[in-house]
Amino acid sequence: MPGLGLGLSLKRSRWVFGSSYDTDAAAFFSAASITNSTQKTAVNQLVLDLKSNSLWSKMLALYPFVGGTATTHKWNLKDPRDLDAAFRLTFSGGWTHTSTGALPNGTNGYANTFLSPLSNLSTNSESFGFYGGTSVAAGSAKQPIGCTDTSTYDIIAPREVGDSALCILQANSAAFTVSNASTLGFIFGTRNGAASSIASIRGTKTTNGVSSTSRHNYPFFVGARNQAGTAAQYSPIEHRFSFIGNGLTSGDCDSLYTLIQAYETTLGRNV
Amino acid sequence: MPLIYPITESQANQLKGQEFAPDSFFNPTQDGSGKWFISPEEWEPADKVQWPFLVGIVPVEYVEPVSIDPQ
Repeated sequence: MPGLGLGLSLKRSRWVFGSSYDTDAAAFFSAASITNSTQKTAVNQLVLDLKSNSLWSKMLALYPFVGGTATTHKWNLKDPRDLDAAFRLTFSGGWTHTSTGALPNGTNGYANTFLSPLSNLSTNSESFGFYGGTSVAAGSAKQPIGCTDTSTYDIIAPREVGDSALCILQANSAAFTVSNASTLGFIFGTRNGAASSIASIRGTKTTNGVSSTSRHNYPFFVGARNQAGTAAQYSPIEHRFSFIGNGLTSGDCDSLYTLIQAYETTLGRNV
Repeated sequence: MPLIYPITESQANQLKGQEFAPDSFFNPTQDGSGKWFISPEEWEPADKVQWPFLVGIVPVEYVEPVSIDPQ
């Protein structure tokens, strides 16, 4: 299994063919009309893995991007109701939806999650990220997920000019930069304390002591950042998985990377 | 640079928030030259009977807005 070289014990409850699906997975399949057996196996195992590693309860929004259309991609695995309050995505502008994921056009495509740091998260407890399926040059990647009131930021800019990733969680202009020369794979950040953040780039973690400031009430956008109510920094990176949740421990980061990589591998779209 | 379909501000106001395909909504935006536009991904499936002013638009090159800051 990928990732076990980290020396950690990822807990996995293996689903047995012929047994019924996890209840939460089944609810998602019903809402999103997912019928493909490979996709159902992958999503079901994802749910089982999140639960056995105590990550499911830390998540507020999980976007598996299966089914290949806007109608199937909009659903939140954690709460598959067709409501803003369930953090169901609303796609605006130019997107291309395929079996590999949801690809924004980088000029006007974004999706509203309706999940805001102030209304739905807690001070010093936040995590969010994406599994990128498009290789984009430095400076063109922009911000595939994030929000800001232009004073406090919750953003990831995965590949700025000079090949560095910018990761800011409930903080102001004090940026947390990490060397990064690729927009592919699972990239996420978490804040788990007043002066404690972690950036995870394809399984490699970097910690930082940037202090938090405050929370604002603009919801996260996917495909761009929500800049005080207007989409900006439109990104051309395909989303194969995206999430928003509460703060994660260092061990959580390792587990999450491994099980998401396994998820994408089952679907045949790992990078 | 990508291509975009230029429209007027009045047309942008008519399209904003309207559905052009299942679970997909117009997002008329201004590019870096101040031109209002929609993307090919919106223009192609859009109902040209419902939105007749979309017929015959010649796409032009997108001008990227200048970023004030990366964060």
